[in-house]
Amino acid sequence: MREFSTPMMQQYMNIRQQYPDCMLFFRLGDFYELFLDDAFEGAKILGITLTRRPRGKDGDIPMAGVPFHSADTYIAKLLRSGKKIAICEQVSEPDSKGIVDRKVIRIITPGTILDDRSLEQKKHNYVCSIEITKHAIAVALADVLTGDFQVTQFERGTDEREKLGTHLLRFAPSECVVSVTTYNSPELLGLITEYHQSTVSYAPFFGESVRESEVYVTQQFGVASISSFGFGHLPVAITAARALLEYINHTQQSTVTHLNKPTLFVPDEYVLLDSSTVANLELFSTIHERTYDGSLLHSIDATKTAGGGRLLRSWLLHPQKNKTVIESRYDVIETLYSDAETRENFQSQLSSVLDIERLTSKLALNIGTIATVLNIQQSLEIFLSLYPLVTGYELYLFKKWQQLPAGQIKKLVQKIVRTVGEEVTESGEIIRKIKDGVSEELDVLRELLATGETWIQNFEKTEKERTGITTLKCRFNSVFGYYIEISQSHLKSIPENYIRKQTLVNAERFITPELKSHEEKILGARERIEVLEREIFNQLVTEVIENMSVIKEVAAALAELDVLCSLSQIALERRYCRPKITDNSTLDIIAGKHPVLAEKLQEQFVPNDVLLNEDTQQMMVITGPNMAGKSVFMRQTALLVLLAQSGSFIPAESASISLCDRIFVRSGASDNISRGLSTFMVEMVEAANILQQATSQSLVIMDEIGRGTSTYDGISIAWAIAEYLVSNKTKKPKVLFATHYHELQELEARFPSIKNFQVLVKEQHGAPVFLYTVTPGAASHSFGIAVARLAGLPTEILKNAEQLLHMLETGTGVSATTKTKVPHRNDMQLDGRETSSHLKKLEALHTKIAALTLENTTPLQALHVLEELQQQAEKIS
Amino acid sequence: MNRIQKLSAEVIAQIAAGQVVDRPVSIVKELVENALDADATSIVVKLEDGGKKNIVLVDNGCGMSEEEIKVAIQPHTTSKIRSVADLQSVHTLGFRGEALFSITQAADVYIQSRQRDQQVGTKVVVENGTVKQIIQAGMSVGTVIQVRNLFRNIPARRKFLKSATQEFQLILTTLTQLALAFPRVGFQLHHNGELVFDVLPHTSCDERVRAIIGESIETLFIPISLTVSEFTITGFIGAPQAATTVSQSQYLIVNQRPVTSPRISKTIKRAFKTLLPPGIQPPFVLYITVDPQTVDVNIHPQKREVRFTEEEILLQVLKTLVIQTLEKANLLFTITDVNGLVVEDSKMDAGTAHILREATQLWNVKEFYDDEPILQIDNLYLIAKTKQGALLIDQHAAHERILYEQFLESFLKQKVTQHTIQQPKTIFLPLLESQLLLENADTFTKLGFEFTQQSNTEFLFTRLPALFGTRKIEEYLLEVLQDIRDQIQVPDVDIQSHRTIAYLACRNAIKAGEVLTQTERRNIVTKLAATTSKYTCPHGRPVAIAVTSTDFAKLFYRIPAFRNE
Repeated sequence: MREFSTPMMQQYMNIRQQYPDCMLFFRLGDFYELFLDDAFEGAKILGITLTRRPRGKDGDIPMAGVPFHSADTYIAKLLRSGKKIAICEQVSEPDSKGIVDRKVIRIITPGTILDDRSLEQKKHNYVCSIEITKHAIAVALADVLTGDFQVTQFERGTDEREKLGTHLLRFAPSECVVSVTTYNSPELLGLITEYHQSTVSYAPFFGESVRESEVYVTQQFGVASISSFGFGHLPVAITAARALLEYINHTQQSTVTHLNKPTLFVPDEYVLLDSSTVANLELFSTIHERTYDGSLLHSIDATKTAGGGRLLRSWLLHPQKNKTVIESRYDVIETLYSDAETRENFQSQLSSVLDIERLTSKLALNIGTIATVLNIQQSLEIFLSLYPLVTGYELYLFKKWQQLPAGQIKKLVQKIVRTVGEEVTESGEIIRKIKDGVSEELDVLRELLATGETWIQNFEKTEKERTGITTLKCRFNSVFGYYIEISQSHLKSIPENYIRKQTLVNAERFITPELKSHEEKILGARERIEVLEREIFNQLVTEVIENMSVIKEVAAALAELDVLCSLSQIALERRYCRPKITDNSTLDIIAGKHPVLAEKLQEQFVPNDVLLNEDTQQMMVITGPNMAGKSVFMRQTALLVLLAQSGSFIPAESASISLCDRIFVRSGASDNISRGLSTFMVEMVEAANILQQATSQSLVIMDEIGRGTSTYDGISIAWAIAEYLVSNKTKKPKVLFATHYHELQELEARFPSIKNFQVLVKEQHGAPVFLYTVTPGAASHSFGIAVARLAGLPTEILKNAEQLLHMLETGTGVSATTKTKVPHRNDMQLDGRETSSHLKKLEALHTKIAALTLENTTPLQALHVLEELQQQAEKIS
Repeated sequence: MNRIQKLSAEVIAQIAAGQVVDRPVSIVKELVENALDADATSIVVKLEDGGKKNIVLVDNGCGMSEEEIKVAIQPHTTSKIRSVADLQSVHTLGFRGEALFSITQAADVYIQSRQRDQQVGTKVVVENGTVKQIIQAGMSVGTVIQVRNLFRNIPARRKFLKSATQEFQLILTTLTQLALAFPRVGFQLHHNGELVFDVLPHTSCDERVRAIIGESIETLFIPISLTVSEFTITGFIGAPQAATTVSQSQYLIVNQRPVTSPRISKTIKRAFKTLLPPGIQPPFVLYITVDPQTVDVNIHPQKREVRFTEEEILLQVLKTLVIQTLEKANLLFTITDVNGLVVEDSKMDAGTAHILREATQLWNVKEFYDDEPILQIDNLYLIAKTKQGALLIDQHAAHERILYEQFLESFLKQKVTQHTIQQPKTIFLPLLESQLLLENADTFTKLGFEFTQQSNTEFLFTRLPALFGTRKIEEYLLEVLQDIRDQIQVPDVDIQSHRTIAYLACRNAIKAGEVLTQTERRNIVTKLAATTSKYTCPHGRPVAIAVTSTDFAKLFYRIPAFRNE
């Protein structure tokens, strides 16, 4: 390492060594400076000038700096490039003796950003720690700005990859911390990075022993025993929680006090959604463009607050299995549905509620200002004005509001209002300050300061008059304090009691003993005011923080109200229906719509019914050409169940939904090249997972399973899987099974619980007309070539394909055998392409004649029409 | 060459259609009525550019089969009547069998319909009046009709369309009327992608009215209800402060059919007497139910106006009902509404003014004694403490109201007692009015006129009421005769006299800016309380605004602002 001789650089190097994985923002006056390697890197990423500082025998030192007041944007940029930043501040006042003390006061990492301007409002920003031992994996997650803190632990095994992946996908942490051991094991690290692309770093906080970790966690939260958190029996979880806590403390360079007590996340409490389900259902982003626009959340989010937005996301991620919870949400939505006026009033008030959780955390993290406190107060006041209205409802969820300590909140609000306030100056500037009347001493000092300043103004005036020097000025600077400045031309007429202090090019500066004595008073007052104001503010902040737990309760209650209003608004505007929640294991949706697509297509969207039960229709085998709407129908079913169990009304005429415990969506075939797995392998891994985990309460969506391999392989596997899903006596999941293999239609005859369905398509003028209607029966034609034509494949290819198809169909091809066996063929028009086109032409002719309006036709016109008809008729025969 | 030729069938069709389809609103009306007749419980209308570019109507009614659609787009076809006899007892909205055909003549129409027992529906495309395509289509049960490019082929008509905003307003009004008439049906109206009108299916007219009028139904409307043997009247009438210069917010539903009736509007206006200045219309929502045999709905090509066989009785009953309702209601202004109304005073008549000034002893505010302190703000407003809270009074308006009452009293006395012989005056009236004048000679005698008929349309007036000395008698006569023709009771005060009295009251009232003693303030308050209609000044501005304790609580957010107690 490079040695330096100057004290400052020695100090720098000393601090730099303690934070090897960070860029060090080293405060020098009004700038944060980066030195040496940091300077090179920083200049490159930030596009700032790289300079050199000549330091005598130390040689040139590369350096780059950013102004402290605009550091936030630069920090955000560095974080986006995956850097961590250590902020090193001056912690002592500059004086003549040596250099000032400097200390790292905070480390900023992607998961611990405190500047919420660079964060998404309606989304948690999680940092997580993952501990992997021989037998178990544990994940601890925390949002430093909202205080959310939770842990989970599960056994290792064949499904560990899926479980960890699902968990990370659910919460999408922006930063992962692991132990050195995990970090150094490519296999273990691979488990994490496979599903999740975020900053992964290691930290030495995973503890010597579980006991030691336990002590760390219990001490931080001031509880006697770890068992009060509900995960005392999960040692790995304790280790992960401790590592995360210490990591967060490390980044804040203090012991954080505002985090919520950790809770145990038990996936089984909610409907289990595997990772491919979350992705395929496009809950939070579209599967291809990965945009929020087009996702389910985007389509149904009408929340007004950041907290509400976060809660709605969380509700969608944690669909409920508890009927009471779901019904109580429905009850509120229904009440607000029929009372839109009240709901709109709630929403208009909610729209002024600020992000209480983050604001409070900011105070706790000591980065709050008077504005922060005032913002909290404003939001709490809205709560107080909503309180009597909401508690007026005879509804379970609103009755919970009665438990909220409105009185305590009221007192706190009053305290804040009494202590701090905003003033608008004449120039329109907003000044936030400690109010007059809070502290007698402060009032006296402010008075004194005001008189002092007035005295100076008067002094300048009288001196002008006394000396007759009109350009006389009384000014202030930090070196001389107050002084009198007189320009060169008037120097002759200066009074005797002026003491010369400084000579400038065209003026001279003087003081008088009188001026100096007032100066002392003014400066003294000013200094004392600052100290007092800080004291009072800190006291206020302490008081707010003491109320943190109730403030958080209020924030949670407001968020819940917001989400319910939002769901009610959407339900009303789109005429969603209240599903009937049952446990009779029947899923029965009448005229269901895809929540996202129905909004896009409006009346053009075709609703469909779905019925699944244990005995007569456990599996719907759906056939039909590409583009006919099979996938939409199946995903829509999964989405409706998910929405219903999240507590939302759903787009359908009516729905009866028996509670689901898991939703699986095995859809489409996507290569996972980064994982080194083929399309088919991914398919089989996911299918295996489904077959293992599905229960009688599960909903399974299988979209074209077996597509990734050769036809016979594919048919065999698909058949076997379908058979397995309906054969198990104890596990009878509800299954939607879409396939191109028409052979599978024969399953209906063999299993009473399987029914064939088709997506209707009519042929008109040789082209398929998609009816997007799912009806009982089996499709016989896949229209692959017609679809290819729609897609614009070259004509030669299409012609060739048609010939090949013909050969296959008339020969001993697979499809030919199917045709004779499948009983449900109600689609005459699709039989035989030649007859069909003949019929079509006849039909066209018929339509034309029928549509003639003879009373509007002159004889001449009629003759023309007749001629035209004749020509067409000739073509047909 | 023959200059007069028979029009082609196409032109005839277009002209005929033009009577049914003159602008987007008539299309919407026809389509919504069809949907209602198809028993839809949900009707969604989507418009682009006020419907000029695109109209989409989605209903969940019984739907049509392919055959039915094909027939429906032919002229003079309907499922609703079969014979002339049926016309007498029409209970459906549409019945002429012109709607769809007319629309297809004026625009491109895409009809999609599915019956409940069918798996799929039928889509029919009609462009330029001819069927272009008939295919099957997947869809929900019900009907979707899209009307595009209205009057693309009839530029002359296109030119007469108003701006998109105006066309939209017309549609909104029509849809509101229909929504009021059919409370059990849910309606949604989207304009350029935005949901602008949204009502859920309701179980009663009352619920529906409340949903549409909103919060102000509690403060600004008074419920009325009456059942007599021939008919039932229910609904709401707006308080004076809800009145506007346009009659747009007057909704009349007769036997579930939204209609207009100038005579009913006029009757209600009369019932308000001086509570409303001329030219200002009270809003109302009225449901009238009568035997279908006694109402004719087929008098207007767009089915807008109705005629009753027992119209005089109906009007008389209605007027009495409204008057009684207004008398019972507490009409003090509440703080939520202080819209000013301005009425021109230029038509004031100097002669009337002079006589009235002489005849009326001006009430002096200083006559009364002091009682309890009343605040005066800005030397214009008085604040008096009341049991319920506070009363805010405009001193000028209040005094004006008091004086108006006094002048009016004198005026009515003068009118019947004081006759003055004038220079005989010859007046010419139109034939119809002349007949009416003769038929109603008695009424005019009562009012103080004396005249002889010179010829069919020429009358020599020998006596006139003194009050009308300097006025153009023809105007007054025409006004009264018009009322008689409309079978409306001749009002106590004609418009011009009202203006005159109002002017006098205004000029003699204490002004804004006058400092009043405690006694004077007290007098205003006491005297105002004694006037018969103390709620608006003769110009229609509020005289007093009551601020109840509840209002105070709302102002300070002690209770929610939207709950009306």
